[in-house]
Amino acid sequence: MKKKLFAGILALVLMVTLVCPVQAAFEGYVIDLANEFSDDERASLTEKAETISEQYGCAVYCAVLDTLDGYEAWEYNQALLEQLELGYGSDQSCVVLLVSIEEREYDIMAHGYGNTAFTDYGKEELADSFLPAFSEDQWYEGFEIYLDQCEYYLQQAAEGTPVDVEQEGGKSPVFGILTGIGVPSAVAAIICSGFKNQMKTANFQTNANAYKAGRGLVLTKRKDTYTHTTKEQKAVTRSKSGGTTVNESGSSHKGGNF
Amino acid sequence: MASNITSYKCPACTGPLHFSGASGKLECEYCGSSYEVAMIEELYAEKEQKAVEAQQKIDARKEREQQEAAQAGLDWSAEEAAELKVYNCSSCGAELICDASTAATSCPYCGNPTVIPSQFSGGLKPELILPFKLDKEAAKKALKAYYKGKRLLPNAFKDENHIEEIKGVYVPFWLFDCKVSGDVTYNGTIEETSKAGDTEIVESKHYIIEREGSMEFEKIPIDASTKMPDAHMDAIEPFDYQEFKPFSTAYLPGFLADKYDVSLEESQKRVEERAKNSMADELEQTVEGYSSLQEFSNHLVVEEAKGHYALLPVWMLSTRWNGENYLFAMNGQTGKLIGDLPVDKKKYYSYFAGIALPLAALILGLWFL
Repeated sequence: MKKKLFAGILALVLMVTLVCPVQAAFEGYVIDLANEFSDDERASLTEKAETISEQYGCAVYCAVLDTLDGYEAWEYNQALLEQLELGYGSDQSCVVLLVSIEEREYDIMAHGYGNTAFTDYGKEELADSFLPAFSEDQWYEGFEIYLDQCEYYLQQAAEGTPVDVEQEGGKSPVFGILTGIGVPSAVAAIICSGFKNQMKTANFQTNANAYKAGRGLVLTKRKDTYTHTTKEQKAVTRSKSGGTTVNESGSSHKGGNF
Repeated sequence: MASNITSYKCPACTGPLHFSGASGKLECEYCGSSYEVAMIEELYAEKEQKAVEAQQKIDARKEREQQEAAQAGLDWSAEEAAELKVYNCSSCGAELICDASTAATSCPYCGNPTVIPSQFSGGLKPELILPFKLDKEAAKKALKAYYKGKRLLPNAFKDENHIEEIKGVYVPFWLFDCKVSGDVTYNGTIEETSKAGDTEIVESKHYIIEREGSMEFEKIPIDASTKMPDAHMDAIEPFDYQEFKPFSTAYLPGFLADKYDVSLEESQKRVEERAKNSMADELEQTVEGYSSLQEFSNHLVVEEAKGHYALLPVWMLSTRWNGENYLFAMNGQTGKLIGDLPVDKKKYYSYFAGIALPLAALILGLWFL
């Protein structure tokens, strides 16, 4: 209920405060609400994005905001997709890189065919390519790198080998042989040890659960005392399983700070 | 002939009587008569008392003879002699040499079922007995069924082992009543994970959890015979204690029986361990809602331990195959059967290859093609 209410408010806010300015700043494939790009830069990015988008049938967008106004980057990105009806075709195939300058946050969102071309692992790699430029406030350079990478990712996807975990280094023959020997041996050993365990059934009893008398456990003290709190931070490990994780709206996201 | 052993004979035809688990009566295999246990007990009460007294006299005489022989350096060692007892079969007169703990057996010459009442006299008398409920045929059937589905069992084993030699044994057990009390302290954490960019933050709230209580146990069985492997006797639990009877030697004919040779004190250690483990499990189950839990201290004490001496029914088969001994045990009341079986190494490797090779071909094919 809370989620629905939030989505409703967000849509309304975007309709009133965002979409009108966005439409004004929306030149095909570039949404520049922060007014960061010069006209030439905006035209260059738009041309490049358009060429890539039309070549591969998957719209590639660049979005720059001043602030997220308290929203999460992915929520803003999702709202853009829905309110501006971004993407190609009925499945709204697209990839959007949204950057908020004030919060120094970004979100890569893929939808439709974009989910095929931009896997979880692919999005992580993609982020690694442009984040150094954004860290230096080089917004145009960062988006140029993003568009170049998008072209490569869409080309790979068109060839049937989207950038994913397995793509790295290709199929290793050594790994293939080790997997081909190791996995079957492990499976056979587990099944055969199950057969072997059937042959030995005499085992010691380690408890006396079957011999409880009376009321069973009589608990005379039950005390839980809070002592302290600790915090541990760790870097999120990269996706190793391959593929793309999509949300309820059919989009996939990868975000963070720079 | 000294009447130091008792053979329960049919009052109608004097044929040997056997206790039948199916009918719960003593039956004569010659004339088919059957008798209530109480009736035979009454008939043989005086005879058994005489047998006990006679055995005591024989034991005293034997002890004197052994001392004299030992002084002369002619007899077996004291250890060897202590392990043996000599009886005479009341049916054929043959001399039966048994180990010191044998309480019921059968004559190897005439097959007459024989009970040695002196093994159960005075403080050695069991309080309780669970009569056999399943007969030899049921045990043989269960053993054959046990072989089924054992994929690694050598084919020759089923045919070569001597299933006919399955024997019903009343195994001596100590049944312990006890109470465990004390406290256990745990360290527990409740973890909450959140994400900020590429960083995962784990916030852990730490708690000290204290639980204290007590728990009572009734009749935890611990086998009191060194001849019986503890793991086998543990594995055929539980027995249905509803069917316990006050001990009577009238339940023994037709089966083997031993008196205990593991003392109450020696058995208590295993009981305490089992009871404490159960208590610790129960206390831990009262701790809920934590992401992780670690036992910090444990102060559990066994109080008021009291042992009852009982005989419990077990079908046993000890068989040798390829130079190794394999022992099976079946609960003579519930039919639960356990045991160790030989593994056919050829079959093991055949199954291994049968599973691994096609799977390897599939994976390598998918990988390289």
